[in-house]
Amino acid sequence: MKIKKYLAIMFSMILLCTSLAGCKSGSSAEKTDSEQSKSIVFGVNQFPTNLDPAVEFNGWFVCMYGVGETLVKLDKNMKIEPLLADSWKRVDDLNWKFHIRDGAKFQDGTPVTGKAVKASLERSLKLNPRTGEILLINSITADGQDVTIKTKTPHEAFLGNIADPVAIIVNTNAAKDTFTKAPVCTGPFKVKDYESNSKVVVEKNKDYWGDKAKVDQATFKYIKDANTRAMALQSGEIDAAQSISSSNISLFSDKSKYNIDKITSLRIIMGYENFNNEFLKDSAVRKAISLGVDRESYAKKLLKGTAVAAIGPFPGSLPFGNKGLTGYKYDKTAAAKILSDAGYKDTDGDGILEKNGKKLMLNLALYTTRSELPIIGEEMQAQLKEIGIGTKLQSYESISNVIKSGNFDICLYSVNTATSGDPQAFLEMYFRTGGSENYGKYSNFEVDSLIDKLKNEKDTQKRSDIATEVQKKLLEDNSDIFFVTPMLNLVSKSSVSGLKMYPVDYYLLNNSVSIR
Amino acid sequence: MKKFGLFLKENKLFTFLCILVLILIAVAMLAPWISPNDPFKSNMANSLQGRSSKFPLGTDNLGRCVFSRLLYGGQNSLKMTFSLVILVFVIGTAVGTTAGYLGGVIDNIIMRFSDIFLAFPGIIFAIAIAGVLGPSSTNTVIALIVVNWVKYARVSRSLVMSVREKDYIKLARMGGARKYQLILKYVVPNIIPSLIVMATMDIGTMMLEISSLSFLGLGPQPPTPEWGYMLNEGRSYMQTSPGLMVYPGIAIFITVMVFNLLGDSIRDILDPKKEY
Repeated sequence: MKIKKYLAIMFSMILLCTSLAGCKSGSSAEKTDSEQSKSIVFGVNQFPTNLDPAVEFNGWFVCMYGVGETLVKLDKNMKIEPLLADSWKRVDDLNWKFHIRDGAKFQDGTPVTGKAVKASLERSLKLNPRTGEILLINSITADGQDVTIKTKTPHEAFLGNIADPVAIIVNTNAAKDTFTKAPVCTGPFKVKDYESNSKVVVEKNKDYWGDKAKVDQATFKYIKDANTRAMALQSGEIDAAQSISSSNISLFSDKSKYNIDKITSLRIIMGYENFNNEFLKDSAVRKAISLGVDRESYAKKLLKGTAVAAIGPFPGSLPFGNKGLTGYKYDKTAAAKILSDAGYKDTDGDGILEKNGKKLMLNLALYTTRSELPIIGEEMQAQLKEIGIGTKLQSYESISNVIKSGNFDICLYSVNTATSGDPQAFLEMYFRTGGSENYGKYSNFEVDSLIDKLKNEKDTQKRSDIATEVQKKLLEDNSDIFFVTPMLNLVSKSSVSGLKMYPVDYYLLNNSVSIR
Repeated sequence: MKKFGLFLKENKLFTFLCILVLILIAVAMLAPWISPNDPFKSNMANSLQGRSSKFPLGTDNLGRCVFSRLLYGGQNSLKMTFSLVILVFVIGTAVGTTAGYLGGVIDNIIMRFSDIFLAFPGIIFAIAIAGVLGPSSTNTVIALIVVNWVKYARVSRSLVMSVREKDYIKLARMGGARKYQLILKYVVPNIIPSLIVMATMDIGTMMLEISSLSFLGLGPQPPTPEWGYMLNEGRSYMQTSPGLMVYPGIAIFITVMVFNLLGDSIRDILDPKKEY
């Protein structure tokens, strides 16, 4: 008994001490950079299941580590730039012809030929269903340094999608066991060491076809917890950290010590609304919710400027994002009026409205791995309460089963929108009737036909116009709640240079990154 | 009355601790009247403010008054802790007494069953149960009951077995008392003081266990204030606004310590070996 009691006291002491430990300001002894001048350490918040670029989303990491390269890449403005292919041409509606850079070599020394590219793409098609979905490849023919890819249907977003790291070019003739641990690719870095769920070490590829890397070695440490990552950066354990949370960003405001690089991501934090719920079926309720959440304050105050208020699903940085859309401004009196006009009344005085004897209570599901969601969820709960809508927060470690089973009324969700720079795939998956990610079961015939029109529209401007039309309808119907577009950030010590953020989150290390 | 006064005078530490406990309970129960602000009222414009006259302990990330939330949180924490201790006490004692008094097959079954529960590491088992039942205050209490009743069952069983063969029990049995009368009138009153001491000393432990579960997000769900959950919420602001973590930490620390010391002093008072 006595031991237990002392344990109890000790435990609370430890709790207290650990909480006080945070009071210490500034960073302690910084690591001397001279002894490892050419090595850089990143703290990353996500980690692949293995390093095979064709499997799941692992290619994104292989690309992030500077190991794998695709035929073309996306620049800061989501424009297509040459990478392994130095030129390309759309032969006709279906055929795309790429010329592979002369002198490009795999990390084992074998040259990259059209045949090798064909083999690599075919491998990816075989291993990952997503490759086929986004590229719609019918057949591939190789001829010397040329590769011609024929798609099943005219595919406007093809170039953007072939930049997706699922299409990283690997040497398919390499030994079988290398793919998961050290894939033989073409990037400025090659994998030196891979420890599952812990770290990846890459070293300079001395035979790189382009400018050689400026650092000799880079380590990617998996630090899942946002606080730990921030502290690791403060203590000097890492040189750069991805996704510093809104609560910690102010710790790195000293410009002489740290660089904060921010960019609007292509993500949207949205709320699925379940159209099978009797209340959410009612357009008045959905409209009241849209009016009853203060997106501006969520972005500026709650998330401390680490996000920007959204209007529609696409971020303002995209050509079809936010333009020509009005959206909703926070107005709780208008929201309350809409509800009372629709016949909702608080008869028992508990602050929650009722209709037909049923309380307007909704389940609000969210998951905790994206640190913004619980914060938004709690505030949203408080704001909806003000207009008479009761919510019950349900927080999950992993949300995928919950949304697939439709076991929610509103579900907060953070998702990438147009990673290829084209709106079609996202609109189709999330808003078309029966779309694979349309978990709220939203359905509007006009939206469906507009999305179908995208399939055959070639003109980029007209595609953007159609995307805007679709978004207008979505906002009119309040298909979902669009909250904020998070900013991606990368905080690095001032000794690090050459790091640049891209709107897509699969670029990080490259040959121009250097450290003093 | 005079005797009671004398008793309090003789046991100064006990008196002092009792007063502290009463203050704690009073503060928690009077939370709606003494808290300066509405603990649920968020105001994003005021988020993460320092101490001020309007917000004695500042505000949290949603701009809610931390002090008011601490008071309401204390109410929830204490309510949960007391209901947990009482339920564990009643269930554990009932099962243990039955097993101990009846003996034989029933005793064997109950005790082997309790062995199974003892074979699990407590808090992990509780996390598993709370996880399966879904997070809520009631489920937290249920999970901790499942984990903790065994201890009371075992202690009360061994106490019962030691008094079962005492002469006064035999005498009562000869006098024609029924089993339930025997248990309730003669056995239980003789074992209850030791169990009460144990329960008092457990209040602190139970409170910590509740806080741990709600720290992990398995306790009361937001916006309900609870100390453990407040600690967790403050965790991400550990460096920028340490107060969000320090205040609930101090609250838990003080409460647990007071209850532990109270349990200690009750044991000292009831200790038969002690000479007055």
